[in-house]
Amino acid sequence: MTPVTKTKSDRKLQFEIDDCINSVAHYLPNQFPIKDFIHHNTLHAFQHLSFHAGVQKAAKIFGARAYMPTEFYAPGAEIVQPQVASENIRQIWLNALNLDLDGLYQPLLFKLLANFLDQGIALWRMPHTQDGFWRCLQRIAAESFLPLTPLTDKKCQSLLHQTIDGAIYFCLQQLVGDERLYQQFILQTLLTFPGWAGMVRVVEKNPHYMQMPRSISLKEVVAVVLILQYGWLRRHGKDLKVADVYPREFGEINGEDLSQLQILHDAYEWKQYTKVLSSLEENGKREERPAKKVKINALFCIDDREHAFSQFVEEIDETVATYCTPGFFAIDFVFQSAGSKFPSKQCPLPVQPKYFAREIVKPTQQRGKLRRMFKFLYPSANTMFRGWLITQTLGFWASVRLFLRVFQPFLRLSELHPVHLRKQDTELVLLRTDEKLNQHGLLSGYSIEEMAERVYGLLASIGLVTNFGELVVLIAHGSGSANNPHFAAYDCGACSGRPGAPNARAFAIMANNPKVRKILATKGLHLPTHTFFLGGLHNTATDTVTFFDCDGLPANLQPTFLSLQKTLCKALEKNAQDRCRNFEMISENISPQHAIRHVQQRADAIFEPRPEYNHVNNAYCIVGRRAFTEGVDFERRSFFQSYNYEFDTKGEILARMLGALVPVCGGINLEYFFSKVDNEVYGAGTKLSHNVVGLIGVANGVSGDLRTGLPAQMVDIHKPIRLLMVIEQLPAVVLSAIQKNNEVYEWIVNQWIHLIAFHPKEKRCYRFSEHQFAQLILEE
Amino acid sequence: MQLIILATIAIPLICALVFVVTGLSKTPRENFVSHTAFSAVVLLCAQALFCFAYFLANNLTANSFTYGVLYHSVEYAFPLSLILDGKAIALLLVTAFAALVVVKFARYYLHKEEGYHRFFATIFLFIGGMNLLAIANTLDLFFVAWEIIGISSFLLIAFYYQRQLPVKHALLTFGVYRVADVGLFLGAYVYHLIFRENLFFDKLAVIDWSSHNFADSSFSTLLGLLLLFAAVGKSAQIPFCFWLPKAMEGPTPSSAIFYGGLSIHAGVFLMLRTFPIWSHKEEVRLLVGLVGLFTAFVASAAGRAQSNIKGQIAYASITQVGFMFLELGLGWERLVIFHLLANALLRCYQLLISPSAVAELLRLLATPGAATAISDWSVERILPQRWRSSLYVFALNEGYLEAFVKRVFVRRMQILADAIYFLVFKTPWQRGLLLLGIMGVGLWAGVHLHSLDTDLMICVFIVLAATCSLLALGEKISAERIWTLVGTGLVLSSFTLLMHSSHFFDDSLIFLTGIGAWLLGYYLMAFPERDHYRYGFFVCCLALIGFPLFPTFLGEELLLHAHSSKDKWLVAFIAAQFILNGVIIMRLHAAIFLSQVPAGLPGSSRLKPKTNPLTTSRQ
Repeated sequence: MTPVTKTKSDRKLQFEIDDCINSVAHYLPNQFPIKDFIHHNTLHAFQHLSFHAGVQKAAKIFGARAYMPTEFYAPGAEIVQPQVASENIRQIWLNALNLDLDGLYQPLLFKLLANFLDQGIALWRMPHTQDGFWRCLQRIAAESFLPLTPLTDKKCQSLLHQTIDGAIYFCLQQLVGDERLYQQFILQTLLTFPGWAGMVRVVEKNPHYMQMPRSISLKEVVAVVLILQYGWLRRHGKDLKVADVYPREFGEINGEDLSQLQILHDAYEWKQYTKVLSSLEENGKREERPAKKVKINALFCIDDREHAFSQFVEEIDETVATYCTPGFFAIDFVFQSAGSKFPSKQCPLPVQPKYFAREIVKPTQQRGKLRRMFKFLYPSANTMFRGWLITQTLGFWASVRLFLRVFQPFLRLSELHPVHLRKQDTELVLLRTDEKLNQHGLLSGYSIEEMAERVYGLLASIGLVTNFGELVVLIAHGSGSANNPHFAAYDCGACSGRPGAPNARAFAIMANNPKVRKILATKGLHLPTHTFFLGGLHNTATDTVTFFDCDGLPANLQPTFLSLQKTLCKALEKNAQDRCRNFEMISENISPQHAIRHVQQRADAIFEPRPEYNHVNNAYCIVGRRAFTEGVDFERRSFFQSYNYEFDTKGEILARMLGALVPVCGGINLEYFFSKVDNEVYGAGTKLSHNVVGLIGVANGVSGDLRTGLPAQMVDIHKPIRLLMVIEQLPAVVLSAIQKNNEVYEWIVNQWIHLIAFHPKEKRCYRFSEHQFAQLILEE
Repeated sequence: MQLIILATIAIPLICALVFVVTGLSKTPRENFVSHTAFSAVVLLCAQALFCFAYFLANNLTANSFTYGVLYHSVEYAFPLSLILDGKAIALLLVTAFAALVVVKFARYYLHKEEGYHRFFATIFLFIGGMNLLAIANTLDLFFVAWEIIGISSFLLIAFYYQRQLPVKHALLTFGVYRVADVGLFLGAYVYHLIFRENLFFDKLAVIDWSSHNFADSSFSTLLGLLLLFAAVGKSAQIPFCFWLPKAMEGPTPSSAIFYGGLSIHAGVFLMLRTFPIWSHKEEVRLLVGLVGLFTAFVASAAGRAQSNIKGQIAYASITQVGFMFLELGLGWERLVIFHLLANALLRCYQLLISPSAVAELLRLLATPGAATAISDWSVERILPQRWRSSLYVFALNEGYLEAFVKRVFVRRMQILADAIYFLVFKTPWQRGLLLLGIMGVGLWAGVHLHSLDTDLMICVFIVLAATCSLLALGEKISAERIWTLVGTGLVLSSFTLLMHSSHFFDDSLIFLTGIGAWLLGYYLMAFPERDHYRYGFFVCCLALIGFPLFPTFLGEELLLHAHSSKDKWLVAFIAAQFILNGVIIMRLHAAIFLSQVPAGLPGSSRLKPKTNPLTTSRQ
């Protein structure tokens, strides 16, 4: 390592590379590869600050908008959105250089990163990917006879053969020249390509998320970026350091005053909150209806879409009691489906699963070999000689396919029936037979005790301990839409961005197991022997429900099941009709039958950038009994978690619940919030020009940076307000519950979400602020 | 029949015009645009089928239709003549089909997008250009279509003009197109030089080339090479492969119809059209075949190392077009047509479904046996490690073509421009001196006009005009100065036309259009923040670069035909001015009205008009 000369040793400033990288990495987007799109707070790095301070600081650092423009809050107002001033020392330096440095080095950098991290698009794999990024570049640069400008220049070569730290120190000295500016410079360099930099950090920290694991670190990338910049400057014979053009002490940025917008934004939020809170209060004052005679219990996900759907189910059928709980149904496993080469995590992001389960195909069900062979022709058409043959032969076939796929949604005559039944064509292997860890370091399946623990935990948390019907259905959700790289963002967030079908199936199998039920009985949970559990999946794009393993259903339950199917059909149609309100160009009073047909066409169309509107407009999260929300119209904007305050006097269940609920719902809410507020900086921009890169992300065009956040088409009708969480529980209990978890407490105390405790006896709202609950007087 | 054929061009162009007009109003009329566009493409499909039926009914013989002459003078005529033969029908059909699918796709896909009108206006401009390309019977008309395609490409790549990269790449593509245009521009001229008439495609088949003395002339080789040069640029063959993947910046449907589907084949179509001219020249055929073969190798290598889906499809398409050139070189005309259609359809499809690549490939990887099917046998496996890495680096750099072209063409030009930059007058007294000088020369010339050698004057003016353009290239600070320099160059070359031609009044329209556009542009460029002015300024730019539809277009042609018959070397200066003006003006337009280009690039953000005498006087 080269010795580092301290130019200004009088000040206590020792530059530590690792600390610097770690603190810089904080500001990078934390988005997973696109197949695992998981919602999170875009400004997680600022969560230690209060909401308003955080968004305003972030706006300065990223050069983004902090709030919507004034005319959004007050139409007709003449106040102009203040331009956020950001003082960028790197930009000053670049201007002084009069050189398009980013344009010189970034195309190569992005290509190197994309090809190194590629998960299966490129037909040639990069050599030496198994060695890690730094080693890989070192070797390629050393081996190649041909220049890889500027990495194969002599000076850069020698830098590549130094230690990473040595190279970084050397380049920083040459480029910046003043230790006090190093961190600032690195941050501002990385923020010119936040998408790739963030992706590198994510892969570094979660290598297991890649199907083909890669070893890369942000530090290596910083070193390469610095070497590339240094190399290009040398090539252009420029020798100008940042310190030369920026001699001043780096001070606080003087941004413009945003307080007026802040007030407007708060007023905008509370106008909407007040409406819902007052109708909740009114609802609470009504006399409670007598308990109904329940024949079926239906469990849905807390998702706003599922909540709306479950409300329709309740409305239509008196005998169905619905509950909402995070859509992984307490089954925390890594699951490998029969059709997949790679296992996938099927539980919320913060949960580290210890169990593994696989699906196996029943031997009689193998099919479609010819079809599969046909599929391989697709990548082959991009090769040289086979491409020649395939183009000449199959080119015209492509026109038929194209025509059909573009006109198909309109040509299809038979419509999909909203409810499907799937025979048991595959089996889940859930019971653990030996204690050895498998190749992923996980236990293969659950023991009977562990199964019982999960079943008990879930049913107790939602208060489903009595009043069982004959049939308990668990309806997970997922979304099937064509031609959509962000498909994972439409799936279940509680299942790490995947459809929750395996979890629903697994839970049903566990709960139907007589041995499990025996253990449950010892815990005081007596499931009636005739009660049967069944798993299903709601496709939120097409509004269809599929039930799995239907052949296990006892014959005497068939009539109940049939009536459930009828109810679901009606509910799905109404749900589709409700969703159509958001879609433009559709008549306001479309009939339910037409509506469901329309949403199915929409999901099937390759030209539809908005197959569904997902969590758009999400605003509330209600935690309480079904009776608490009955009859309140949330306009599809509310998450809902079933919770009975009577069974949780100490708040332990609530504390556990909030541990998952706050980051998941808050993450979804804030991702939508920021993607809407500044779609170019925090969001992914318009999806129309997106290009899939390496199966890990999307970029604009061929040589752009990866785009993080949500595309404009997902948020165009979103009303950005923070999540309002309303818990039906005594304020004192809620307070003790949120104080048990520091992470949750930070979300709430810094106001990244608003928290209201609804006193079940007094029927009044208490608002949490300044570390305590105070009664909230609602002004009309 | 004549009208129906004319309508294949007229309908799209009228649609484009209508959408431009409706786009100017504040309220978006998506429904109107969507329905009009779809009806128009359905009509176009019907027309294409009708033409096909007509062609079948006429026993597959070619028919040409002449609609009169648009311009006529001693040296030069511009007849409007269209042809309906097998090649035209094939291209008409595939264009109509692609347009049908893409318009259907885009009318939903672009819903709520800013620039809905702009998108459809450009698409229809492009479709009009493509149809004209198919049925143009003269090379001049073909050139018109060629230019329309070029400018609509620019507009679609820079569709998201608020961002840097699309604008940068649009300028790159436009630059390559402009250079390629020169090939066609000069090709038409060389043909004219030999035969003293316009190149009619339907006559090519009739001429007996082997007995013709033309066959022996070195001119025919030159003509072939010029056409090849034009085709190579437009079809992204060596050494111009690099622009195609970079052009994938617009909305996916536009990439599909342009770069995947149709415009990439324009060069192949040119070679097909002119096949009789160059096919009897062995050396040209060899070169065509070699260009194709090398392109196929380089592009397939570069494509294999692309880890993004659109880049991969782009290079796959270039590879196939390379094969088409090879097939052309081998003389397999029929196969080329077949290959062209198949490739256009396949790539169009691949690009339209490219957003689903993640889902599709994940499913594919899950299929048993996928690993062996995808990472298949390839040459690199048998290579030693060092060679393998080198080949990968070669692919990663996409064959070093961009660096090569930049070094050979762009850098040299820039260095030359910087070298003579001192000639630009920067202070008022210098400018005053220049004005006095010009007036003096003018006076002197006026007095001695009869005794002067006009030819010499013309030469001097043309060289001066080219120098003005070069000076404008070197100018990096003041937008007005660039605009003025380009304008001066154009005035100088127009002077030569006036000196030369006897019928002053015929050409004055051309002259006035140029001056008018220049003045209007000078006024508009002072208001970069006004949205509508962007369109206005763009129109001025089009007029100045001699875009067809403007009389100045004829000016370019006339310039070439009027003078160069006497002094051949003047051609080089006229061509240089043609390229430079196009590139400079589009760059200026981008710098003023489109996204901020980073510092250090030509056309950087510093290039903003500061004071504009026209506007300051207005205040």
